[in-house]
Amino acid sequence: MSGLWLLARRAILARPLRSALTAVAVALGIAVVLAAQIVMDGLAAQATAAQQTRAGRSSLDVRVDAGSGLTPDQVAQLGALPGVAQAAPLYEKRVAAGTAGAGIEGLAVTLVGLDDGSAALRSVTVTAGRLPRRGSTSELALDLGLATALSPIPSKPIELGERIQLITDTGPDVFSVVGFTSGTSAGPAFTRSAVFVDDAAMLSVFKLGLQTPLVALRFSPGATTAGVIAEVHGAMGQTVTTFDPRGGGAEPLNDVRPLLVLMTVLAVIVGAGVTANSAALAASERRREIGLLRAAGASARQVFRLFAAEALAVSLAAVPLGIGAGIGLAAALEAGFTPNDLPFPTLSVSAAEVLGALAAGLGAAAVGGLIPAVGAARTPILAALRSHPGAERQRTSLPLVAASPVVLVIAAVCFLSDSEGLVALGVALFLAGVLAALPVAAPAIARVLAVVLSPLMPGARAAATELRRTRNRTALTVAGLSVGVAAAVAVSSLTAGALTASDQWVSQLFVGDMVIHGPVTERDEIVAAIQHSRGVEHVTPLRFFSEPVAGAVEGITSIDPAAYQARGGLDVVTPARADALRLLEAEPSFLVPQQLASAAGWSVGDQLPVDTASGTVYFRVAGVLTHSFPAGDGGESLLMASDLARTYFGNQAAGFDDLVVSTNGNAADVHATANTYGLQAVLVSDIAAAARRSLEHAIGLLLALAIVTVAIAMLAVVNTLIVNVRQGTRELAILRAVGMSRRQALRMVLGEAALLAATAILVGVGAGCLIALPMLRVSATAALAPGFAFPTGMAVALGVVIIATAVVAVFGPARRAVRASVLSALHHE
Amino acid sequence: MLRGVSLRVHNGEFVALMGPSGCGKSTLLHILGGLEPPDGGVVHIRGSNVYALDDERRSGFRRDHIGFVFQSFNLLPTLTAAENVALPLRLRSSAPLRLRQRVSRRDIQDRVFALMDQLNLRGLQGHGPDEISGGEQQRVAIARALAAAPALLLADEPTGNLDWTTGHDVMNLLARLCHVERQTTLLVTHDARVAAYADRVLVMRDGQIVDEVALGREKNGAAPDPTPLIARLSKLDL
Repeated sequence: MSGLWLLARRAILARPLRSALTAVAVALGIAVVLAAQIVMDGLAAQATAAQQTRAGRSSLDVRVDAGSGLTPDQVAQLGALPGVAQAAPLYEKRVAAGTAGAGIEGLAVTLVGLDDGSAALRSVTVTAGRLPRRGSTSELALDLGLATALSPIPSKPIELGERIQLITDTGPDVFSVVGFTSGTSAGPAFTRSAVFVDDAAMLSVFKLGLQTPLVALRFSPGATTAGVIAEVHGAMGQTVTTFDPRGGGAEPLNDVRPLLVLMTVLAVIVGAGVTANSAALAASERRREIGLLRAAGASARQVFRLFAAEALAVSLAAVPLGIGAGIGLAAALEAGFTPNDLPFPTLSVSAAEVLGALAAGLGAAAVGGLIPAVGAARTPILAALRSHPGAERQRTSLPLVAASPVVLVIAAVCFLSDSEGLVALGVALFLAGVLAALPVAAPAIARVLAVVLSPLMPGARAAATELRRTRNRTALTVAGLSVGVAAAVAVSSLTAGALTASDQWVSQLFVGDMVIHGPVTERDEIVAAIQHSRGVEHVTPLRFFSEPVAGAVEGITSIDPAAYQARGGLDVVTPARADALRLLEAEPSFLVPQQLASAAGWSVGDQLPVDTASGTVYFRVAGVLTHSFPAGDGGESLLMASDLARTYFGNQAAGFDDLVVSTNGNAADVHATANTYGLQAVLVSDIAAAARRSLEHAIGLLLALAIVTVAIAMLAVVNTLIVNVRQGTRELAILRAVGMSRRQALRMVLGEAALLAATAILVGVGAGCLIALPMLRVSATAALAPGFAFPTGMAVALGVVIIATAVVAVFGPARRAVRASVLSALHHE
Repeated sequence: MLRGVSLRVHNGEFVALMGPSGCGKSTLLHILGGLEPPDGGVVHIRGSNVYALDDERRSGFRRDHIGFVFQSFNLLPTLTAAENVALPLRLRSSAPLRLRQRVSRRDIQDRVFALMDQLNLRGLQGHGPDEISGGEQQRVAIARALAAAPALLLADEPTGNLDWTTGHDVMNLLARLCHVERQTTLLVTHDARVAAYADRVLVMRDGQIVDEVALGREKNGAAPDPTPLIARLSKLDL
């Protein structure tokens, strides 16, 4: 191999720019794979860690949502199950709280019992003071949000050592505030800010009406989740539900993980394409050298090994850069796209991630480099010896082009499927079909563009002819860039569609421009007070709770149908919106979100049995709507009229959690009013913006990878354009010899660059839009079903940047070519 | 297209192939060199049937037994003159294991320097092809063709890109190699002045050898007189 290594090394060094561009492409391919792995693993680890923090020492939660929850016997039964080391019940009770001496009136707060400093095996974070002592029946700790809400003076929150009053089984009792806690991070049972007292108090002075909705189980060593779940249901049947609190940690990226993988694969394929392009250019430029080597006795295998060695050497040279760039890219992506609800992950790179990235990046580069190497080895010796690369007219591979429509038809069939896997296959086939057609399609598109642009670009038609002459090279170059642009456009379309859907969702749910939140469920009197305060035109209360509906616990939001009737909002699919809202107000009925209706098989008119305070009542499905308010379990809630909610569910549905406010435009007044009651006012536009940011965090990651893919593809474009200029030097000289000016020659070369880039953009944008449609369809969830939106901004930005880059990249070599002496250029070969 | 061509070249003989463009002389040269399989017939070189070998072995045979000199020199621009000369020997070292013949670096270097000395290329070892003249490039190409001590040297219009004086030097060199080193050489040319250096001239027309002219050898290094050959060719009405 020593002789071939010498040739390979010299060939690489003889084309330093091309070799460097190829190495950068391989490095970026490695970098994308490494960065995607680091980011996905890092964020998943953070999510898992956050979830495990929330889970505390609980291995499994057993829940009963109806009635008063689990009985002491059931708790004991759970603790005795095989594999269970400890069963820790969560004691909850809603009580009225207020300042000492306020009588029996007060704010309804959720009281949570603490067992040795934790609630249901979850540690409670203390921000100031301490937790109530073990056995204490006179101390409490408050979530910080309540410190203001419970204070008689809103501007002066309750302080440590102050005393507040809670309604116990025997009447108002005074408790001493010994600590403040940081919000409701303790677990799924807590939906709002809580007041913590010791279990001793819960089981004595708050015993009446005490609820045990959850028992946290700590497993014995060796016990499995599945095994204990089976034991739980074996002992208690289906009256309880189980939930693994440590599961679902990777949730933040799960929705986009398939697309992330797809984008990473595309980046690697485009990187391989750049290597293939570079190797093909080298084989084309050095055809005569191949002929000479073969004539001098080199076997086809030796020629193959020579070109393979070059590709391998360039790829290996890219390894350090690829790893460095991957770590840098991962850091940038984590900085930009870590979801708001997760802590910023520590950058951690494992050997497996590096090896995986190297395997993918180098493997793709090897494949990309080996295909032209095979072609080089198969080059007929005599044809190679006679070769004049600059004047060569490339022929189309007819079987390849003929396969294109067949592949496109199969892709179209896949697009019609509802299966994500088939649609992904369809996307891959569609791109393959488009690429197969490029040797014919790309020159034709370039020709059309040239005709259109010829008034502005006098040399456009000549440039198009040149691109047609080297049609295979043009196709290979356009292919990578088209895939990159298509991916970027598809992801942008997905982003735009998702953001639009998100905006619509928020605007349809909130019939106002501000929302007032309370740390606890607030009293009805506050609604009236706020309604008549300055700056407020109209208020609509919302109350979130859950009840057993048709055998399963469902989230319910009570609303004022008249307000929605008058002010719009809610996208009712069936029946007519006005009819649905009228029925909602008139009789026990629900508006059901589409997602839940299709999952449960409910349709308009169905009667659903609901456990109410007065027994089982049948609620009618008054209508199906596209989206509803979040239910807190990842799904959406049922909507019902607030008056009827109070009738059937009593205090459970009383008060409000959110107050939607229509203002007269003066948000400051509403903020001030909310503060008066210890509440917080936010703009609906801020809620929409937060929803947008949440989406952008996930989809932005895809877009970043798509843009890196475009950057990789651009390297192939620059490579090709430089070779085109080099090989066209003699023709330029001939044109100059017959009278073309340097300026005209330069314009022609730059025009070719612009035309090549524009062709790729046109193909990419078209393909991107077409693959976006099925991607949007299958990526739609019940929660979010984005529609197609043409990403005008992205398309224009890509167009400008890519064309400008192509023109700038080729400017130097083009200027050198047109400035060269005509005579010396005529001798150039 | 060749039709019924039968040809025997003796060891150490210098044969020229002449004929008008398209008569098949280059095709014959390529077939003899193992570059283009014939539709029918056989090519024996030193007792081996060239086209009975598979591509891998034929490449090896070409490397070890046949040297090519082209009109356009075809030196690899990324290699120095010495590295170009050493190419067949390096290829021999990097052949697949079953066909590999180890040649030490020292042996390669000695052989290259000896050849370059012999062809009056001393001092040009480290120069790239673009740093030496056309005549020197062609001499480097001849040195490369001779590096593996081939049984047969095939030269396709070796003076086509050279001026007359340089071309004369190159032809003198080839003639000397035949006469002194007994290097069997087959030359393709359309120039009677070049063909006159050969021992024997085969004239082709329409894919056939239509005439054969034996020529005398010039011993003094002067250009041979092409007049008798030209006279003979003119009778053939080429």
